[in-house]
Amino acid sequence: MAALTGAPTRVRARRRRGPAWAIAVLCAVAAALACLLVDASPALAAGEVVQGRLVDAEDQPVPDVEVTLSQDGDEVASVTSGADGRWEIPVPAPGTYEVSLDEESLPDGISLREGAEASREVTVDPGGLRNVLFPLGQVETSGSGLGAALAQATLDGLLLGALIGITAIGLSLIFGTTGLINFAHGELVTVGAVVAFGLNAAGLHIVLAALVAIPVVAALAGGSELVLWRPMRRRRASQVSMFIATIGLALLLRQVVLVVYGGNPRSYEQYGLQQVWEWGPLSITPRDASILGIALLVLVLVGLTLTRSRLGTAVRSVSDNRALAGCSGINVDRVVFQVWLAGGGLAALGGVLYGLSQAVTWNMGFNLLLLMFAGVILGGLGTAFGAVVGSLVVGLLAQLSTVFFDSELQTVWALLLLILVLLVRPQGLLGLRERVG
Amino acid sequence: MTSSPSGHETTRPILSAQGVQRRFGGLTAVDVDEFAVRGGTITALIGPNGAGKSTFFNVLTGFDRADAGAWQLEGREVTGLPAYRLARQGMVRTFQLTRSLADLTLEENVLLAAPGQRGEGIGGALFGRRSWRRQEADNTERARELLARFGLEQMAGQPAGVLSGGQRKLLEMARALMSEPRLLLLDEPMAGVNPRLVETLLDHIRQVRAEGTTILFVEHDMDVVADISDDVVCMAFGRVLATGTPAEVMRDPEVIDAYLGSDEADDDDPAHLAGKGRQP
Amino acid sequence: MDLIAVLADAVRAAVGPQAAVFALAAVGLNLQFGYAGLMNFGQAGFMLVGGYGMTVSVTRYGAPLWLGVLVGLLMGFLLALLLGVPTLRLRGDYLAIATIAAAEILRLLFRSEAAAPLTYGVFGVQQFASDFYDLNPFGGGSYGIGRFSLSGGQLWIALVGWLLVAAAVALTALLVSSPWGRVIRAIRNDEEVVRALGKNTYAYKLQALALGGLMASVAGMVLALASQAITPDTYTADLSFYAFAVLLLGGVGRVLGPVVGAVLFWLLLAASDSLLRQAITSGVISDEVLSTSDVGPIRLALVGIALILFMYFRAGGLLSRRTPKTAATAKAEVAA
Ligand SMILES: Nc1ncnc2c1ncn2[C@@H]1O[C@H](COP(=O)(O)OP(=O)(O)OP(=O)(O)O)[C@@H](O)[C@H]1O
Ligand SMILES: [Mg+2]
Repeated sequence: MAALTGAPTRVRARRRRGPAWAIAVLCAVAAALACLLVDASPALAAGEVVQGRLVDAEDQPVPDVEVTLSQDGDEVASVTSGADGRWEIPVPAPGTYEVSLDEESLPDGISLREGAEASREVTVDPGGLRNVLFPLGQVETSGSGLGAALAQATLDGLLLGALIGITAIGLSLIFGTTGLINFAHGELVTVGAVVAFGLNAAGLHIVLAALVAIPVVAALAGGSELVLWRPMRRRRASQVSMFIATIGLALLLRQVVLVVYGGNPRSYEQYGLQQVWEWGPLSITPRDASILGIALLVLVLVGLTLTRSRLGTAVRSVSDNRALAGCSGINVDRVVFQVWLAGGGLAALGGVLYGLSQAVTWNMGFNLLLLMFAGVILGGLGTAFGAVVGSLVVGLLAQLSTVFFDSELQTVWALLLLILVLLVRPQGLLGLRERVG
Repeated sequence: MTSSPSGHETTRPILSAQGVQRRFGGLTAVDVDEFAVRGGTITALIGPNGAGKSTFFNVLTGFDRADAGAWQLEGREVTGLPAYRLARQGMVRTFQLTRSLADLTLEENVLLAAPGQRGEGIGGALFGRRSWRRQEADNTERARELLARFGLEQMAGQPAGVLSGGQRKLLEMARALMSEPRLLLLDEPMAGVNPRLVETLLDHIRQVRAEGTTILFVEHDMDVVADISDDVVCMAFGRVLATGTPAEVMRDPEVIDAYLGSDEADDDDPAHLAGKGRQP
Repeated sequence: MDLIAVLADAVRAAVGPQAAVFALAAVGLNLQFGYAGLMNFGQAGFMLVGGYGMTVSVTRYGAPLWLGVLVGLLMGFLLALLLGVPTLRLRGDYLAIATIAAAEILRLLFRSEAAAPLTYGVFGVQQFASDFYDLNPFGGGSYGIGRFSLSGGQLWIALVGWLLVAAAVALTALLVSSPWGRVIRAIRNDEEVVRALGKNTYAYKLQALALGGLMASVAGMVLALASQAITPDTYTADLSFYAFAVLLLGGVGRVLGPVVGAVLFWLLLAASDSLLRQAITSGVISDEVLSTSDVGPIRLALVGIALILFMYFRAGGLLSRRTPKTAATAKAEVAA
């Protein structure tokens, strides 16, 4: 964690060099990421595989559970889950199989979650990899009261909120400077996570993989500005048509990811089993703690950049009034381009962090996008600060809701909040009203 | 009812307002204690840029909400009614920045404004086809007349998007008249219109008054104001500074001050400001 | 490669029930977006409540099919109110986000375990449409010319679907040529002008949203009947986007635009699907590069590309008289 505290000073020193701010942020992130990771383990198996990872309600691995694969009633293979909760069964040929979990072999106090089936039919495509989830839960929640649950949910919510915030800054700034609602922003997140996954699977350390993924996605975002959005603005395309074009781009990117990456959730190669840190009722893995630390650090850095640097001033004045900023000697196109670069880079970073804390999936960005919208609109479209505050609120709400309600509904609560805000205060909590007549 | 100007016979006000306020954060954009428009007149609303004229219009016509105050149309309490209900009661406005319906033809633009159309409800549109068709024919005739009056009849079938800025002002006027207003509120109808056209436009406005419609308009050009209006109301910093005949108001030292104090004025007599405030 | 087979696949898709479903949803969207300018990105939500309204009443409560259809319509109408009453005051792009969020909320709720006793959860329910197929006048045989053929059941649902499309198109045509249509077209241009002329624009927008939403609910029912299955994840946000793609392909604000769009959409989708599959199985494209399971995503990626290109070059769609210029120049001049 020492690197974390050291980072801001270094970045502030670089700030004066102006446009290099994005690089500065990246360096700080690199330093922070470096303190995260210790070792990496082997890459993915090839060929058709059915696999899964058994974790309990607290996301802790459940080892030594027997999982059986059978076809038409005949047992094909049987394995037990490893120390990290993982199990993996190579499949002889593509086809339909039944995967079942031996409930007897579950450790005491843990059982299948209510409504979950102990056996599942799966279809394995040629060359495919199927993840099978067996949701597990505690038989009896042991003593921990509501207060503890709330405290833990708050911590988790901060983590989720910070991740939404990182990705949402770009969304908000792009809207602020160009008026474009970028529906493809979620896909920038996905692409970031997936590029890092590819490199990671090829043996690159996750930190290095992230450091490559960030500029790749920044280039993708910047490229979309140069190839699509700037020319469309020049042609005076309406907001609506640009908005729909971003939807097209989102579809395109998402499907390409699906083809290249596949439909199954996968995780980065990680550093073995991590000892959970506990403070009283709170617990967090060092991994999640580092993610939270990095996320908050980046948010602070971006905030400083926007308020203190020349680029930040330029961004804010373009957001305020494009035409006026243009007249007063600001190169609007360049500012917008830099916002795209930075927004893309941050989206990629958010994607990697999100992938680390959850899993990398082909539609993770789209799922995150709606939460980003919620955060951004809550805080007032167009401001970075608003986006961050709004995102934190959304993250907290989503996680806190799981204390009282089913966790599969957490997105629903965030989206309800979004709609509520639109109704009550469409300009956002921190935004200004528009002039009418 | 205090504001009936001296030297004019008193008529019942068509529009009166008391204590109307509109604040934006710390800025009080409108703070009008008493305001009245006499029926059958042309009343000009003048004042430096940012005086709050458009905001006052917006509040009166239901396009913005008031923080305080009340106003009546022809004696009926209309405070806070939604814009469309105010328009149906006969108070129709135009906008400072012209707004044409670019994809509709000129004729459709004007037809849209016809009041009491039977085909405007879903039920009427589907099941009363015969009935609204007949009405539509009559309305079309009137729309054509109005377009002809503003010299736009040649373009009746073209989308309004092709019009020039000045032509749009004319179209907007024709459209507003089609709705048979009792009180017409025009926000800078002459801004951006060719000086030669201004004369014609003024004639139209006079004719509208002759037909019994009251007009309240915002204008920066003092020559125009002096030429056409019966009454003048001057606003500055959201307040009404002076009310009276054009001559009275332009002599008022407070009015002269207000214009001097604003960036626009480089002359001590507002009557000489002609043309200076043209830009919206 | 067998181009005749590709053609047959394409034609089958273009006249089949799927195309009718998309045409219906897009006719509704045309009323909302094409004429009234409402950016409804929640068309999938309307389809979902329509489909589930019908299915759940039939399977859970044993209602007759006609009653199920009425329930589906009622649900669509209620959703329009629930969504429209609060959100139609919003700026256009906010409306888009609110509607997409609402549709997504519905999907998540319908697939949740808590709702499963009513909605059957993630896996949905199958084979509930026997009432409908009992009415099939075509029997079980196969109909068609040469390589192109449909089963009796398919023919039946396709016929019903396209008749409904015809009805929706006729309704749209009548409405948009009336003064009502003039008001909603004017609202798309500039709502405030229309308000200033004494029209209750809010009520008009609500009517347009509800009418379009009802059409989408019907589309959802046809979809459920055609596949004899309903699952919440059929109704993702992508479904709403495809409705937009169909509309843009055919022509925004043209009565027949959505129909042309739906036929073209499925023609192209099925043709590219069939071509790719053949290319892969016959080895023209090595299965190292692509496998047949990639075909689905690839054709959707093509939809994405089409959307981008349309917006870049011709924002109004194929049948459009409007070029993107007019709207843009108008805006520019207002701004000036
Ligand atoms: N929506 C709004 N939010 C904040 N301030 C506003 C808003 N609308 C108007 N104002 C402010 O209220 C004041 C009055 O503006 P208004 O447009 O009414 O002036 P005006 O008299 O019409 O000026 P002009 O002659 O230039 O048209 C201005 O200072 C303006 O900045
Ligand atoms: Mg004004």
